[in-house]
Amino acid sequence: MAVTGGSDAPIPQPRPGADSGPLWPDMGTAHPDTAHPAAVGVPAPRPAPPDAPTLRPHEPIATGRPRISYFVRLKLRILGNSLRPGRSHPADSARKRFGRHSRLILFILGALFGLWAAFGGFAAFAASSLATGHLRPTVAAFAGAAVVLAWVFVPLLFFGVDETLDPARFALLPVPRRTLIGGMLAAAFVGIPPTVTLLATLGSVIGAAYDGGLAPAIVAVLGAVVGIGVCVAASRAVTSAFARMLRSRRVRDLAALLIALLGISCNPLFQLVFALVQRGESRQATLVGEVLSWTPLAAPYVAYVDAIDGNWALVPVRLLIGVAGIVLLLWWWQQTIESAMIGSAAGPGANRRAATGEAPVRAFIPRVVRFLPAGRFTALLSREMRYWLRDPRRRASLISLLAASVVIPFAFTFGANGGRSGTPGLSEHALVFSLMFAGAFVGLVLVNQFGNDGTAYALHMLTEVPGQVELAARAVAVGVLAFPLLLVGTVAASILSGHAAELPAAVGVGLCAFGISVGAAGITSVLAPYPMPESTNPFAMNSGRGGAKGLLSFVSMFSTWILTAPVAAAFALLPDGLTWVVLPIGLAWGSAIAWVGTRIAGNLLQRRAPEVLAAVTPKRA
Amino acid sequence: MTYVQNVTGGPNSALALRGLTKRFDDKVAVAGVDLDVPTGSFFGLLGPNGAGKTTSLSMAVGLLRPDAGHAYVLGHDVWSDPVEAKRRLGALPDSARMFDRLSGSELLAYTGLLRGLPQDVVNARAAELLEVLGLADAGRTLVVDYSAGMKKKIGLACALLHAPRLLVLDEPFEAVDPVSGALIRDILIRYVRNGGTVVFSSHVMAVVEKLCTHIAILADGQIKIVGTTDEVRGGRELEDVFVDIVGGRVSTGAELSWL
Repeated sequence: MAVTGGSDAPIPQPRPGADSGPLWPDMGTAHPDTAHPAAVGVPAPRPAPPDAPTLRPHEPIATGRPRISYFVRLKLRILGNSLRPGRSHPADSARKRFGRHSRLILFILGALFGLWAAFGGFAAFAASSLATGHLRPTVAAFAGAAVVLAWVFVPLLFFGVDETLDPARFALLPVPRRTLIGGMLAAAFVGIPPTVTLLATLGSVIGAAYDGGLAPAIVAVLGAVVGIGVCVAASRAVTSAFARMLRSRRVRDLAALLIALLGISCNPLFQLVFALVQRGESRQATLVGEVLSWTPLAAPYVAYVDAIDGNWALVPVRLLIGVAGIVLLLWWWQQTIESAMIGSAAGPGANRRAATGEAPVRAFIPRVVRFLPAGRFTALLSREMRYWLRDPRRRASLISLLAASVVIPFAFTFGANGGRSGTPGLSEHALVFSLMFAGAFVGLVLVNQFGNDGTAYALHMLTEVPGQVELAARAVAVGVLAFPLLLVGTVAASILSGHAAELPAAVGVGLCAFGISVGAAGITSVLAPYPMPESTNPFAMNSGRGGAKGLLSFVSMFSTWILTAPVAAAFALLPDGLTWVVLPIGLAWGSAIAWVGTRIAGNLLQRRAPEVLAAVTPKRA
Repeated sequence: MTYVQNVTGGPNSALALRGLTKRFDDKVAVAGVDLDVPTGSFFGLLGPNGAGKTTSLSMAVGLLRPDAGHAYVLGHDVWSDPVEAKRRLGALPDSARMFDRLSGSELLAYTGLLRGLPQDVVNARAAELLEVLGLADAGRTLVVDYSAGMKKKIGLACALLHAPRLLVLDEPFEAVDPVSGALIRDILIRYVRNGGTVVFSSHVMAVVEKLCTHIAILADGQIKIVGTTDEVRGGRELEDVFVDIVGGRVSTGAELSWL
C-alpha cells in the first residue's frame, strides 16, 4: 500500500512493550540450523563484523495492539495521498501542471456539491420537523427511513461503496476482529457522504428547538448521530453480504434476484410517499409511519418528536432501537467480512472442462448475434455481452440496472397515480417521463466503460480496433441485454395503469434517452476514464474517485435529460391521438445523437487510446 | 546457435528504436533508448527491476505514448503508421491483463476476429495452438482461473495467432514452471528458425544466455551494452557482466542480524 511511502507522518506502527504475543510464535525453532547453515546446503554468509548486533531469536516480533484510531488515520492518509498532485517537472506545459491537480479539483467540486446537498437536506429536514403536530411523527418516520434506505440502495444500485480500506489487506495482520470491525466502521464515517447526511439530518434540530426547547434539540442531535451510525453500518453490512453472494458462483443468481426484489419492494413505499405528498395524511401512511418508527430504520429520527410531545420515557427506547440495529448490522457485517478477508468464497473457481466441440469462433459468438457476419463488430459485441454476464462488477451493475429499469416505470406510474385522484400533469404522463430516466440509466452504465476493462484494453490497441466500431459495439451490447426487460416492464406498467395508448410514446422517449445517453457516456468515457479498484467486492469504489464518478454521471445524466426534454415536451403538447408520433421522432433524434456522440468519441479515442489505457491502469498510489 | 538465419542489421531491422524517452512526473523512466533488433535474431533485453524494460517495450509496441523518439516495426512507424506496424507485430505485455473472463478458445477467437482474420483461419489456428500449448484440456475454463504458466501460454498463443514477423514479449518466462517454460522456449526457437524475430525482456540470466543470439542490457533507462551474446559476455559469465554493468550493493553480513 502506498501509505507507507517514505514519509514521517504517524503511520500506525506496532509499538514495543504491549502484551500480545509474537507474530510467529515458533520463529526460533523454525530455523534450528541457524548456527550451522552449511549443514542444510545454504552457502555460509561472510563473517559478521565484531560490532554487529547479536542475534536474539526469541525477541517478540509483532507487539502492540492496533487501535481504532489507526484505521481513521490510515484512511485520511490514503485520501490525502490520492489528492496530492504528482511532482512537476520544469518541462511540463501549463496545461499539464494544471492537470496534476485534477483530482484535488474534482474533490473540491464534489465537496461543494456535497455542501449544497447538505444545505438542501438540512432545509428539508428542518421543514419536516416544523410540520403540524399530528403529521410530524409520520413525516419524521418517512424522512428517516428514506435516508437509511437510500444508504442501503444507492451503493447497491448506483455508486458502490468507498472501499479505501479493503478488509482483505488486513488478513495477514494480527488485528482482533472487533478492532477490525470497529476501525472499518470508524473509517467509513470519514468521507463526504456521511458528513452530508449528518448535516442534513441535523435539520430536525430546528423544529425540535422551535417547538420543544433545548432538551428536544439535544435529543434531535443524538438521534441524528445514532441515525448516521445505522446508515453507515447498514450500507456496509448489506453491500458486504451481497458482495459475498455475488462472489460465490453457487448463489450469485439468487443475489441478483434478491437485489431486484428489494428494489421492487420499495414500490409500495414510493406510493405512500407520493400519497403523503399529494394529500397530506392518510390512514395507511400514518400506520406505516408508526411501524417504521419502531424499527432501526426510523426510530432514532423520531425520538425528538417524543421529546417535544413530552413522552420522555420513549426517547431512550427509540435511541436504543437504533443502537441495537447498529449492533446487529455490525454482527452481520462481521460474518461476511471474514469471507472477504479469506478471498474468493468459492475458491479458485469451478473448472468448466467439458469442451463443446464447436469451432472456436462459433462457440464464442452468442446465439442471438450469430446472424451477424463474423468480424470485428460481432467479436466486440460478443465479448461485451459475455462480460456483462461474467464479470462480477459488471454483473452487479447490470442487475442494478435491470432492477431499476423495472422499478422506475412502475414507481412513477403507480406512485403518481396512487390516490386515483386523476390529477392531470405528472400522473397522466408519468409513464412516459419515467422512461426518460430508465432509458438514460441504461446508457449511463457505459460512463466508465474503459475503466471496467482496465488494462485488458491493451488488446484492442494492439489490434488497432477503430474507435467508432469499439464504442458502437459496446453500446449495442448494453442495449441488447437491457432493452428486452425494460420493454417488458414498460408494457406491463402501461397496461396495468390503463395507459396503453401511451406505450408507443413511452418506448420512443425511452429509446431516445438511451441513444442520447450512449452518445454522452461515449464522450465522457473517452475523456475521463478512471481505474476501478482490483477488489473482490464488486461494489468497491476508490476513495475520492467515488465523488468524481458521481460528478461525471451527473454531468452525463443532465446533458441527456436536457437533450431528451424536447421530445418529452413534444409528447406533452401533442393531442392524445397523435402521441404515437413520438416513437419515430424519439427514435430518430436518439439515433442521431448516439451517432454524433459515437463519432466524436470514436475520433477522440483514435487519438487518445494510449492516454485512456494509462488512465485506467490501476496506480499503486 | 544453429537456428540463426539471415541476420541483417541497420535499416532492415525488425524493430528499431530511436531516441525513445519517457518521463513519469519528475522521474525519467526511459532516457533515450536507441536499439536495432536484427531480423531473424533472438533478442534478449536484460535489466534490473525498474530499469525501464516494460516502459521501453510498451512504447515500442504502441501502448504507451513516448515523450520523444520513434519506434519502427519492419520499417513502419508504430505511432504514425500503426495499422501496418501492428499487422506485423505480435506482443505479450506483462503489465496488461487479458480479457480473462473468456475461455482460452474464446479469447483466441476474439483476438483472431479483432485482427480481421477469416473465420476458418481463426478456427484452424486456434484449435492447433490450443493443442500444441497443452491448453485444449482446459476446455471452457475461464482464463482468469488458469495457472500463471497457462496464462503466459494463452497470451503467447494470442500473440502468435496472426503469424506476425516480430514478437515482442515482456517477461515471457516470469512465474512459469520449467515444463511450460521449456514448451514456450521450443515454440520460440522454432519461430525464429522459420525467419521470425523475437525480442523479450527478462532478468533470468540462464534463460537469456541459453536462448539469445543478441543481448542488450538496460539500466537507469539507458542501454548500457548491446551486441551478440558472445560480444556482450566477452568470455565471462553473463551474470558477472550484468552485475558489473548495473552495479549494486552486496550484503555485508552486518545488517538484518535479528533474522
